[in-house]
Amino acid sequence: MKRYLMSTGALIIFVTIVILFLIYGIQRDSELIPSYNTVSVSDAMNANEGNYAKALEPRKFVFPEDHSSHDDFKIEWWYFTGNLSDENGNRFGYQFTIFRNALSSDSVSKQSSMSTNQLYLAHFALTDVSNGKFYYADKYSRGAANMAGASVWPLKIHVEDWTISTNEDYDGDYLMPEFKIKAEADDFAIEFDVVPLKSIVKHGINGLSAKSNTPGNASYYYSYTRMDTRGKIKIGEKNFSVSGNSWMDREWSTSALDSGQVGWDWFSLQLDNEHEIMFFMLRNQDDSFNFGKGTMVYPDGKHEFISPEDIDLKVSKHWTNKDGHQYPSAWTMKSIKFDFDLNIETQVPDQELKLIIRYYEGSVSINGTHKGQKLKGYGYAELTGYTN
Amino acid sequence: MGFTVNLSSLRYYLKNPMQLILSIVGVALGVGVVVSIDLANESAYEAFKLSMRSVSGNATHYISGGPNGFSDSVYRQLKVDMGFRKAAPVVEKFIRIKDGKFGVVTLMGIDPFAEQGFRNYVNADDFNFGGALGDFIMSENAVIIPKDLANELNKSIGDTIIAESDGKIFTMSIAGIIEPDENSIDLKNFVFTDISTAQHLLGMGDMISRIDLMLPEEYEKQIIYELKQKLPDYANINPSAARSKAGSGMTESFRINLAAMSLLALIVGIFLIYNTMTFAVVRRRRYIGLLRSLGVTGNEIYFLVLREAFIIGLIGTFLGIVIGIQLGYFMTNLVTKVINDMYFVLQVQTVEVSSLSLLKGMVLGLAATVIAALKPAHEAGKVPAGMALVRSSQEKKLKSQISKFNIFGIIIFLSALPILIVETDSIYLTYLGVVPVILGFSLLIPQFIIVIVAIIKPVVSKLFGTIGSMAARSIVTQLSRTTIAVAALCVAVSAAIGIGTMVKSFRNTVDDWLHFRLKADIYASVPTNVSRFNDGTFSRDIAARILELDEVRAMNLYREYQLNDGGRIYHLLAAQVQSFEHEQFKTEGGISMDELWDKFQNENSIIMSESFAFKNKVEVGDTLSLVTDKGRVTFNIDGLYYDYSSDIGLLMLGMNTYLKHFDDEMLSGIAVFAKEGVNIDSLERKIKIAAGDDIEFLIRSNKRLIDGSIEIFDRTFIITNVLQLLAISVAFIGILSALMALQLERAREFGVLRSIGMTPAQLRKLVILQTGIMGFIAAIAALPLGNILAYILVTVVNKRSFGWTVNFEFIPEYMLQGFVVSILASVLAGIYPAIKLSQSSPANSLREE
Repeated sequence: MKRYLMSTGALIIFVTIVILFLIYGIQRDSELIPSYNTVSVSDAMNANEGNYAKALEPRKFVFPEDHSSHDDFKIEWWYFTGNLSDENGNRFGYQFTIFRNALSSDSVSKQSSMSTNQLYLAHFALTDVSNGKFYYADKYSRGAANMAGASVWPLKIHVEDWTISTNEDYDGDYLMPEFKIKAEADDFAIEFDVVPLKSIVKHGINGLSAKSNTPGNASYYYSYTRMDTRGKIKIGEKNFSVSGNSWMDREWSTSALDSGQVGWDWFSLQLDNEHEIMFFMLRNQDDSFNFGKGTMVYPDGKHEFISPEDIDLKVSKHWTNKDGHQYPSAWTMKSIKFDFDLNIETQVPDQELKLIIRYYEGSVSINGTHKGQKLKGYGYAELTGYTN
Repeated sequence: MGFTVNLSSLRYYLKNPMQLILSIVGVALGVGVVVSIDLANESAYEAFKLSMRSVSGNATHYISGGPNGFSDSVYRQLKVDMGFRKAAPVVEKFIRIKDGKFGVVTLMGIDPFAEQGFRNYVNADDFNFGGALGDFIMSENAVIIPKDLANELNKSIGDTIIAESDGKIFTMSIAGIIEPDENSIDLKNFVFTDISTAQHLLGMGDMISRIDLMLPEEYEKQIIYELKQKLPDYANINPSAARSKAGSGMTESFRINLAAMSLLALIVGIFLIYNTMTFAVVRRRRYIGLLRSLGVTGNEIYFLVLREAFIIGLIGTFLGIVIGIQLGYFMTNLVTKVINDMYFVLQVQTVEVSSLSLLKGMVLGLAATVIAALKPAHEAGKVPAGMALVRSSQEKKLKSQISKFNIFGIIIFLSALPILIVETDSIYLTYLGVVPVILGFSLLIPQFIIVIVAIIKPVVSKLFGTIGSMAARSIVTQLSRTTIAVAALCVAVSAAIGIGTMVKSFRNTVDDWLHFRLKADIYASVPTNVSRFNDGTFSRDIAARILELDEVRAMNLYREYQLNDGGRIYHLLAAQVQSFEHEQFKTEGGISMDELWDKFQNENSIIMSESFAFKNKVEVGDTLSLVTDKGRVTFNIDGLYYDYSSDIGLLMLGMNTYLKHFDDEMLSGIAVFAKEGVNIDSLERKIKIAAGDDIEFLIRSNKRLIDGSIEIFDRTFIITNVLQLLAISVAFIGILSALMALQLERAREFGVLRSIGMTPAQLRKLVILQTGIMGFIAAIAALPLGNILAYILVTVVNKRSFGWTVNFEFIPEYMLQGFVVSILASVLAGIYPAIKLSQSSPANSLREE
């Protein structure tokens, strides 16, 4: 009896195993889906050259119109950076930028509210210096259906709910506009009133800023180099009441980098002796500096052109990101002509925005001398082209 | 010793290969049918889930609203005013590809800038920002298609595709081809484009179809609450299609019914195994007695028989799984067709050969075999050592028990009544109620045989002489064996009659209803994707132009719209009709037709279809709250009407009421009444001209619409007919096997007859006559049982599954068919034993003793 039971049992087990094996085989076959290779969308389509306006000669700026967008140019930005502190001495840096990027110089004629040739992007970053933390986020939207765009009356530039604007009923001086900026990401947010303390600075030749020696490879570029900034910062559930200084850059153009140029190191420095320095250097593939220039702004708002030979800029320290890309993290910036000697260093090592376009936008602290006097200061450094 | 016994088992089955093969084939077919239906159901379900996943991506919810979508201002409000981040707008519509035979695909207009995190098919990151993205967004007709679709259409980048939606034709140009890098999505039936291009091509302007949302689970309820407070009334927040059971719920009844019917084939298979094993035991009674006297225990014999059954079951099941997988492709095709006609657009790319389906088939097959073999094994175990139980004692036992059988049979038969009468939602339970009907009726078969034989014996002996009366009498004398064969045949034939009668009754009911309901001369609409839903739209201008034609006396206007209320689908039918008289309505609470007509015109009155009442458990007089473009509105259900077009149920409301609550001026269909004496063909042509060239307008005369509807009906029942056919095949094999076994067992008896002077020809006549008479008895018995089954299917199963009232009818053609099949099967089953037995020498037959 036992033998029968055992042999029957063994038979059942054996056959079950065989069948399961066969089923597994069939199952496997049914999962044999061909492997997929992603064909990049961009490979499938052609780029278009376009017929955009170019920055060829100085223009007469008209405000508030020029605070709003210039859709016939390829690119444009509203660039706020600032260094702030709260009453307990916690230091913060922020960057809030709205970019406009024309997808084509042609207009569209579709029966559609979502149709546009303008793309808006915003980058928003916050450096919590005291805690050594860096937060960043981005947003992009089509410039249609009022999802993103720029208007003059009221002055408002926005990407969805991230906005740069004046009060709707603002009737003050548009040469010295009182901006409100507001952005909220998942775990950090800002809401500031930003008011110029010094008058507008037009870079280059009355606002026409050349980016290389090629004509037309230039932008219209003006700044407010020192703006009183007050408002709120929120990180996670914590709120901070802050104040400090911001810097706003406005630039629009159809220029691109010249061949050979791979990126730039760009500085906006606010010294505690009421001077500001804007200086940028374009870099070659081999990391040598290719082209540069800047503006020195004096306490009374007057400003002076800085040519590259007036400045001796050297990288004194590097920081390497997780992917092994090396960024400069400290510099010495000297000028005999302007009589300054500055040590510039990033406040937190990692202030890299790992977005579709990767770059470094970092709050920096400054120590040094100007005309024999010791000084301190804060500013921002923008480093691009280091991850190519 | 075990080996010797096993060998003897093997030898026995090899000596009777016909028995073995028929048993295995019977089990294989039974299991095959069950497995194939399970595979088809699973494949359809998986395909549905996959396509929902592909559509919703990672969305957890979506906002919908309005029959034609809603303004993009809701999206702006969400993202710009409220700062809500995880939202992506979608313009979506089924379109038909006109070149090639490919058919229906989903045109999906998305915003590449908002897609991130939702779907990774067409994302802004994939483009180089300079050119390609701009081209894609700005082009009037650039689309990106999946590689599978490109291959199917034989198109590449730069080619164009012509498509149609709501009767409008447009051209798309292929700007890119993508291949999904995830296996869990199915993109073959999608055409992607920028949301602005989709709005443009579909003529939607500033309207969007939905906004996908990703809500964090922990704050889900709170966020939905807040959104509902702030967004306009028509914005409706639903769980995403992938999460919602709405779609799969629609087809549930259909799937369960298929599964239940597939089990029928297996049940017939069980009869077969029972018969084979009984026969195998009886034939070896002497041998088993010998084994017992050699010291083999009754238990050992019991397990020996069970093991034999198990091996037959195993081989049969294994073959059944192989058959099932093959048949699965065919069944999946049929199931998909029904779903596309009845429920929603579904394209099944692959048959899911799931281990679970196969395992289910295996367990069912083996369990069925072993259960069927339990009684024969038990009998074998009881055979006393050294002697074979004389069968006559068994026959005596059965005859003395007939009255007991009758009583039990009636009790079991009646025990089905409470199951069938009591209200239940469970379709399985309902089908379970069919089992006692069959079982109880089977127990009455011995009595039935005695009665029928008594009646026909005089006739048979008159027609066929002594042989005839011998044949008739022997059926009664061997009642213990003939009963099983007759019962099996009767059950199989009844099943065929039952299913056939059910389908035909249903068809007749639908046909009557169509004739009753469709009174207009011409019907017109734009092409739609699901045959039973006429929800395509065209503008009222077209209807107005048609109404102006001289030949037109009057016109009914219809708008059909699937309303999604928080994941529940309601099928609305707004009608502006000439008169209520051409609709069948049932009212309750004494409301007169005139009153109903009045309410229907002006108030928030709706009339529900019978299926709706059934599916939603509502009655006339109840209220129903529905989300409309103007917010939530409570409707009064004032009537109930018969409708067989949708088992989801329809809600009919007056066009005025509809327009009051929905911002929707579009129409889905018109019914045109021609003036007296107008030539319908020429009016059709005039309507076509009035509709204009830029729209594909389907214009059908009354007759063509009815024919078309019946055609769809027939198409949805193909799978039922296939199942019926398969059940008959299993039954046929069963009968063949059972009757053959019966006759072969009687070799000795026939040997005696031969030796006392019966000629081989007479013997052949006797055998064939006997099986023929058994077939006749089974056919007679199948008439009541078949019609009882049909009646249960029509009035209970169908009503509980779909909520339709179907008029049961006797269908003579199916009864006749059952009769023919029954007698044919039995006569055929008699031929082989007749020849074999008449050839063997009587001495050999007798020597066995």
